[in-house]
Amino acid sequence: MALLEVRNLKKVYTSRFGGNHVQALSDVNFTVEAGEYVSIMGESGSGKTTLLNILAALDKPTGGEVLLSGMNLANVKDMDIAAFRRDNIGFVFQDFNLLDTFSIKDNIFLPLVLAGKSYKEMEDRIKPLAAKLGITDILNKYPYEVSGGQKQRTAVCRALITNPQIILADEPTGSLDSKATDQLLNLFERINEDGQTILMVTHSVKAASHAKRVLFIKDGTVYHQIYRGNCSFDEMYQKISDTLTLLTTGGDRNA
Amino acid sequence: MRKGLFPSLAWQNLRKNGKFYLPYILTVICTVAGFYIINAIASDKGVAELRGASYVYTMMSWGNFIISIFAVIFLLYTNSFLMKRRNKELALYNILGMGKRHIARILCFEALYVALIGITGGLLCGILLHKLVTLALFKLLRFDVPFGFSVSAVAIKSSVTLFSVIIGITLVQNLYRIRKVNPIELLNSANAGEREPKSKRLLALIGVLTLGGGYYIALTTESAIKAISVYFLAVLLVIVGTYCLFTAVSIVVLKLLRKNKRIYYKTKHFIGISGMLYRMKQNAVGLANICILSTMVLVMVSGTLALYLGTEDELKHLYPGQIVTEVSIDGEKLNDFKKDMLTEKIKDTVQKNRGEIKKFEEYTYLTFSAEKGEGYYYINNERKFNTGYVQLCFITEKDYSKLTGREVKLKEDEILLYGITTDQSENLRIEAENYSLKYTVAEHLDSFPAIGDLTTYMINTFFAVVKDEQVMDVLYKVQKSAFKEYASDFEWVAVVDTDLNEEMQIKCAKEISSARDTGDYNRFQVMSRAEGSARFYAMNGGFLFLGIFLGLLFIMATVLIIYYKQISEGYDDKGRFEIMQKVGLPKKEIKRSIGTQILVIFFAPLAVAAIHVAFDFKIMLKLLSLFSITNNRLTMLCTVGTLLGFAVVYGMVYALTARTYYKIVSAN
Repeated sequence: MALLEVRNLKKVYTSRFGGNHVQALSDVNFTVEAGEYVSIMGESGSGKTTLLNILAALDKPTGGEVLLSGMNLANVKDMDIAAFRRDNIGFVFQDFNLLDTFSIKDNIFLPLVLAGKSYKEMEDRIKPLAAKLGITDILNKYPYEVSGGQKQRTAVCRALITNPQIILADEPTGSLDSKATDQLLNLFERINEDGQTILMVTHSVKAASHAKRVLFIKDGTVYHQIYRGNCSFDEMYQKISDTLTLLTTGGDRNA
Repeated sequence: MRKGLFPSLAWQNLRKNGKFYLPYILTVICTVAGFYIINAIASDKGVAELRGASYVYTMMSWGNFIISIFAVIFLLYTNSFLMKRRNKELALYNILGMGKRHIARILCFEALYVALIGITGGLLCGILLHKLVTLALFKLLRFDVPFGFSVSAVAIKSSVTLFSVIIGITLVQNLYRIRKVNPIELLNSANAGEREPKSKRLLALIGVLTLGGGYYIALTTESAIKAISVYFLAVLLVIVGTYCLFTAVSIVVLKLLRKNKRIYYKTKHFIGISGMLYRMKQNAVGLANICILSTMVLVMVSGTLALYLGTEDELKHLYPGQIVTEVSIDGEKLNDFKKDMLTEKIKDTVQKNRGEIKKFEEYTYLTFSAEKGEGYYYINNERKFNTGYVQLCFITEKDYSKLTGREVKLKEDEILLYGITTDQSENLRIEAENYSLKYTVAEHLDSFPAIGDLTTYMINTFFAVVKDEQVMDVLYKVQKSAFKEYASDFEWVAVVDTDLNEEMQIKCAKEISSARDTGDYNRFQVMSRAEGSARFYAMNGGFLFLGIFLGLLFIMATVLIIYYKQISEGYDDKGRFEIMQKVGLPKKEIKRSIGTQILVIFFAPLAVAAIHVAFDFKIMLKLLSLFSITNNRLTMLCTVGTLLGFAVVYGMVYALTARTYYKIVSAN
């Protein structure tokens, strides 16, 4: 059974008085197997963020369903949704979403504290993880005192510390310089090699080229997908570029 | 640019920022109304003709002064807060191509609207409420003259002038701000990462010391007269201490809490403690302001309330009877003093007015001040020691028996002694340059009848009963030789109670005064309690009125500060709670953590204010004793009552703001 199944997903935004309808997702279908590293690409307005929000149970679909480990997100009660998100999904955002009020360490602890874990358990979990992510030295600093790359690694650490079934990353390299981007992408790969499932939404061809599979979304549906197979990064990069060119130029003609 | 653009833009701005501007304009309206009413009462010709009007006038001038100061400070403060909130908006105008001159024009129009709405609204409210407030005031003052509806042109003029000037100043402040900064700075000013506050040990220490000092003074001041002089020092220390406490001590405490892992890493504490710590720097001053304003409200209202409710006691103390006749007689001429004739005159007067005498008391006393020495009292014109003064007061055993009904048989050198302090010495020694007197204390008394109006002298007083006129005469001569022309006279007091009504009592008192010519008196005074009652109610009622009036004004300020604080924090916190929700914070948990956080922030100032008041209580009793308010239970009730009433209002504001805050934070 696939870890994540998305079936006939639809999302229509309606303006407050029901005047305008905007179809963000028309019919999205795909599955993600455990241990996969999938990236989703598409132009602005193609529905990527909507998709991610629905996957994260932050938004509700108009039609279709999302199954995580066979469990339908629509069946999770409103009261439990936060806990569900906390236990099953790890988030990495473009703008890090770290809280200035907490130290790096406390930012990472946040989901565990919310889950009511003991301090000892939190300590036990953070040590190996922080070492792996190279943030042990900055644990006692505050977000405004560290670099963008370090912030994003903190965010990754916060996403991983709950041992989630899947990591959802929304443009994780969007606010990073090229060096930090490389570091983060390598990090994602390493995590993925350890068995962590990752689903990443991105604009960046470079970021996408690190994934094992790339889905292309256009006009609210999955338009195309390519597998990396045994391709090198460069070959993958080329393939993605070509597909994007086709999507924006040839795609129109076909559609 | 189009001609009507600026006025309409300005109008739109006010409406769009309604959440901030509405309370601001309401504040202007309330302050204007308050100012108008106070001024209108002060300038009312009808009031001027009443008994005790001079007190009302004085009170109103004070009120006037305080409101003006308050209005300036408070409106400037609120305005600067408002403008900080609007940085982004103004920067955007600038970036979109408006010159600073154009923005300035918009701001001018905004100020104009605020002034127009605020001042007109305030005057309207003021004129409408004026009558009501006057009625309330007259009820307090026990005046019973009904007034027609009136509008005071003088008050309108001064209100318009004052508030135009204040709003003008805020405009200048805003324009200066616009000139100084550049748009990018304005645009990003909200995002500047705020550094965690450092623990300020020194400041915490200063806070503890000043606060401790203030409390120490409040607790240890024993004499009422000293209380006056040190009260303001104590208040000042406590104010400084409060600011330090909130800025430094709070941070130290929060950091300690954070260090305790078992407490800190719990969901509700985790968010709350970190949030409070983060914003303590900007919060501290606001909280201290709230705390000090609350304390002022509490002290002012409870103090004036106790004063007003104690007026009856005060009157009884100062006027032991309905008609009190006081005569000062030179000791040399005591033999010429026709006591019986005066007594007859008083009794006759009452009877001529068809009154029946219910009580008649008369006695003679001698009182003078003395310096405290080592185990004795020294009387001298020049102050020799710096040990403080006491007042000594003597009456004969005959008068004492008349007043108390208790027979005493004293020897020549024996006395009965009563003092407020528990000085249980066995004898009373009085030293002057050429004399030395020594009396054995036969008995220390637990109470003493009210003699003269000595309690209003604000000095520690000792009352002594001596054998007879001869002893009194010796005492008189000794003090005469020491004080010379400043020496005291014998005081003769006659107290009458009748069954006459107040008007007749006043009439009797006037008639008795005519007996002034019957002898050679240094002082001849006839007082009626009825007249004193009008005077004291006018004064104490004025105090209470002022206390409540200013109390309301300060409560309004407190509410506004709290409201603005919560709202602006709500906008700051919105982003944080969004992040937390994404990380897995349930909505219910948000509500709870907000609840505790606001609760602490809200009720910390109230709790500290209550502690301030508790420490203030003792010194307040001392100050009230100057007004002959000695019913401590009543004062206690007034204080507790005021505190409870205030807490209720405060709680309502809390509920309201907590809701607004939650709405902002959880809005999508």
